[in-house]
Amino acid sequence: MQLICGANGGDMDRRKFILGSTSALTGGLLLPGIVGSAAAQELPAGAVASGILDALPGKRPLIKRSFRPPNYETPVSYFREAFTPNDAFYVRWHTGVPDIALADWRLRIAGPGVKSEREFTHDSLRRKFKTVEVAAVNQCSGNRRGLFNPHVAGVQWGFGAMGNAVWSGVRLKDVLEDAGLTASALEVVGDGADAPTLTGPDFVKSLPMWKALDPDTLIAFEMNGEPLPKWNGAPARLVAPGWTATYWIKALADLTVTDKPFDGFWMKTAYRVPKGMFGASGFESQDTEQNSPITSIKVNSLVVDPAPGAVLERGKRVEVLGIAWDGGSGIRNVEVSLDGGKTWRDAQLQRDLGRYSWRQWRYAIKPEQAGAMTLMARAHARDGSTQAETLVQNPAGYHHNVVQKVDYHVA
Amino acid sequence: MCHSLDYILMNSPFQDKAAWEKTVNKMVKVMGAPMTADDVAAVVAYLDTHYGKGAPATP
Repeated sequence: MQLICGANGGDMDRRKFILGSTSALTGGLLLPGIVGSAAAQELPAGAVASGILDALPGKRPLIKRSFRPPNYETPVSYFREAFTPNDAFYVRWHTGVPDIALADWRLRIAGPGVKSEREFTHDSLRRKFKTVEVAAVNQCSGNRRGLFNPHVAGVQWGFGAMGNAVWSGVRLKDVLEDAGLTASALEVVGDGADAPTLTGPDFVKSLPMWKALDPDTLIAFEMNGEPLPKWNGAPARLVAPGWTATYWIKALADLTVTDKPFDGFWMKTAYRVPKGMFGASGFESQDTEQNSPITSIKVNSLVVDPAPGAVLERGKRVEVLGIAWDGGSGIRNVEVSLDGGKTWRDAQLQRDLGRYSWRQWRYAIKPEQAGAMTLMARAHARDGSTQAETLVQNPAGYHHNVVQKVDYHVA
Repeated sequence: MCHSLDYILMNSPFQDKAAWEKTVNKMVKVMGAPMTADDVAAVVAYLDTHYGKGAPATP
């Protein structure tokens, strides 16, 4: 395994803590959060063994969960930045990755829910509709699945199947209204240019009309001011802020407005949670008696720096940096506990970058006692929700938002 | 074919034989893997032996 460091070297001098003894060191730099971290220890042993750093073309080294289809996780250290660099942004595909030139790209809009069909090129679409942008967390439904106990089969993600970016493109609403919606329009079905390897189901997802018509739901061409990398859905992808990334169809090719619930495998069978376990789905046409589609992101937080396992200097002030996010109500406050959850104090929220963006927070600590130390962080959303105290087990391993316990050593 | 072999190591060693069987059946019935019933039995036995619950997880 070749060890290559990310672009975080410049920050390391500022980090005065000594690195954990089990951490891999390369030229004095800590590999971003895989080897020897508390997170890695909770992943299945096989996932730890296979989770090497590996660089896809055009990407920095990321944690490889699988090579084909490419599923690559962002090392936590990149989350020190408010927006995740495109070349460090995680990658998740169900199938092969389409490689479509912008000039060849077409978007078709059809189905019983539209009055007239449409086909756009990139130029015709951009010329016709206003460009807008939204800052939003893109989080895989299965982020943190690897931390489930007992483990659940699937891609064994740690903390990094997510990222925060400014997405830019046209409103899905504007495009749909241009085609004209009929009274029977029920769901908007998005299909990408990717196709299954064998005879398996094509990866196709639908949105309820209210979400499709939300002014923040986009057909995006850029992230963080640059064209989408092909790994993240070039030439265009859906952006459904606040909802898990399964709905953010990459390499978008077709939109079909249906008058019946779309019943493809990836809606009807996969990406489901037991009914009522995580509240109402907001997607009634896809609810059944037993289960619901996973939809909005649950409130969550993550300690970014110092990394778990770090050795802190006794009597020395350290600023803990973290992030917090939810499905779009916004973060009300983040609390930190240093006594196992008996008492909590508010962290200092940083600049509000929009309700779908994550919010950075800081909390200064000055450890006075040598030995083990545990820091807990808990976010509260403006909608009154807060993180889970214990894991809510569910068959597919979704919505892991248990309050994090980060162990440090004070010396 | 559909996926690289790292999927197997990644998903070990926490699945018992029944869990591996479920996985392989999904590969065949949902994803269209061209395997006979004999293939399925042999693959499940192999996965259980080398990547099953309690098996040593080394690359």
